[in-house]
Amino acid sequence: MSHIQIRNLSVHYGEHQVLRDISLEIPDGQIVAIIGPSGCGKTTFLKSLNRLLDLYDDTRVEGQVLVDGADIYAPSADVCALRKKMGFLSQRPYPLPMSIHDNVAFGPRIHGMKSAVEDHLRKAGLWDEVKDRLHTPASRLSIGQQQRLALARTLSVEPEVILADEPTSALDPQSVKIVENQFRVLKQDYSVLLVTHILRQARRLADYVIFFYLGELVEHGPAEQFFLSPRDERAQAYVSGEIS
Amino acid sequence: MRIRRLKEKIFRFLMAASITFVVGLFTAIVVTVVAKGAPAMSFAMLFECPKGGYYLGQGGGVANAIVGSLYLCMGALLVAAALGLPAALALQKEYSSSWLSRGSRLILDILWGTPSIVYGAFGFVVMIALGIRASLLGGILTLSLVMLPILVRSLGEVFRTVPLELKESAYALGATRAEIAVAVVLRQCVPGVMTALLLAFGRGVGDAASLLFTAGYTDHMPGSLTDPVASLPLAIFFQIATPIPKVQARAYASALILLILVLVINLISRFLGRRLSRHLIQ
Repeated sequence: MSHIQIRNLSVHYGEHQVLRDISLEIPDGQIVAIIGPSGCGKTTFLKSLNRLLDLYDDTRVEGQVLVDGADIYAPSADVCALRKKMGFLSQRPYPLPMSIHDNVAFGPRIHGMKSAVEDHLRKAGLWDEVKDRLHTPASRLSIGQQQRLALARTLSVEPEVILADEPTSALDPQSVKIVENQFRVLKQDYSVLLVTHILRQARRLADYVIFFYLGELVEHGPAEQFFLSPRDERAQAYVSGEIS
Repeated sequence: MRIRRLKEKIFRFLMAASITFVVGLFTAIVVTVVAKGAPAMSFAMLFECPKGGYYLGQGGGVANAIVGSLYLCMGALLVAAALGLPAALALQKEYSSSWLSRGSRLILDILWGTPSIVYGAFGFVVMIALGIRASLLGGILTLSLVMLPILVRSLGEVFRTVPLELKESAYALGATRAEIAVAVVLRQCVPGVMTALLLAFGRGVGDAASLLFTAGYTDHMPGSLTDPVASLPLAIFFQIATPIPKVQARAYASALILLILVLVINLISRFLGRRLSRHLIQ
C-alpha cells in the first residue's frame, strides 16, 4: 500500500470548485510530476495533502486523503505532525526572519528533535557556499540559494514526502540545475511530488506523471508511457504543446 | 495633450503647496518653542525640583516633572505592551473570526479618538471605587488605557503586513500558531512594533488631561507608586497659566524639554529597531 491515497477529493474556494472528485494512489519512492495548464488545480492539490489549504478563507474540502492509512481531514488528525511528515517547498523561497543556521534549526527545535544543520545543508547542496557565514541573515542569500535553504529547512524535520510547488520557477538556470540534481538524489530516500508547469522539467525528472485539466484528474501513469503515448486527447494536446 | 500637462502642473503645485504649508506650520511650532524656551533653559530647569515660590518666578526647575513623565510613560508603556501585544496577536485572522476582528477594530478606532479627559474621568471613578488616591500607579494605569487603542491598532496593521507565504513556510514545517507568532511574526515586525510603541509613547508623553485627576501633581520627585507624581504636560499647563512672563518662559523651556525627550526616545528606538531587524525578510 502506498503512503498517500486520495479518495473522491473535491476542493471548493467559495462557489468555485477547483478540484473535482480526485481518486488516486501516489507511488512511493519516485519523483511524481503533477502537470497541467495553469489554473488547473495543481497547487491546490499539493496543498490539500499537507492541509496548507486550512490557511485560506472560505475553502471547503470533501473526500478523503489517507496518509499511512489515516484520513488527514479527520477531526482527530494532528495537523502539525502531518505537516512535519509532508515537507513543503513553495514556489518562491521565503526564508524565516533569522540566520541561515536558525532557519534549518528551527524545525527540529519546535519538534524537540536533534538538529543536524550541516547534514541538511549538504543534502540541499548549499553547505559549501554558506559554511563560513551560518550566522548571517538568510535574507542576504541569492534567490537560488534561498530555495536550497528552503529545501534544507524542509529536510530538517525529516519528512517522508516532499511536496514541491514549482520550486524552480523563480530561479536562474544554474540554480535550476542544482535543485533538479538534488531532487534526483532525494528520491532515493523520499517520495517527491513535484508540481511543474515546465513540460521539459517533467520529462527530465519524473518517474510518474499526474495530469490535471480544469480541476479534473485526466490521466496518470509512468512517465515514459505518459509522454510517449498519452491516452486522453487533452493529455495528447498538452504533451504536444497545443494547449499550455 | 496641453490639458494633461496643465493638470500635471496644477497637481504638482498643489502637492508642493500643501507640503510647504505642513512643514512650515510645524517648523513654526518648533521655532516658537525654541525661541521662547531657550532663554529660560538652565541647569536648574533640568536638574532641580521647584523651590518655594517657583511659580512666582523664584528658583528651581522641572526635574520632578521630567522624571515623573518618564516614570509614567515607561510604566504605562509596559502595561499597555503587556496587554496590547497579545491582544494584537489574538486579532490576527488565525485566531479571530473576521467579525470579531472587524468589531474590535471599530471599537479601538472610537477609543483612539476619545478625548483623554474621558480616560482621566474614567480612571478617577475607578480609583475612587478602589480607594486609590491620585498617584503614580493611578497615572500609569490610566495612561496605559490612553495608549492601548493606538498600540493595538497599529500593531494589528503591522502584523497584517507579514506575507501569508512567509507564515506558510513556517506552518509547512509543522509549527503551531503560537510558535509562528513569536518566531516569525514578531521577529519580522520588529521595526513596526518599535514604531507602534513610539506612537503610543508619543501619545502618552504629551497627555495632560488623563493625568490631571489620576496622577495629581507634586513639587517633589516621585517616591513610590502610591505618591502623587508630576508630569511635563501639566508642568507646562501650570506655568503658562500664570501671569508672570518669567514663569511663562519656563513653560516654553519645559515644552522644549518635552520635545527633546521625544526626539531622544525616537532616536534610541530607531537605533534598537535597526539592530534587531537584520534578519528581516524583504
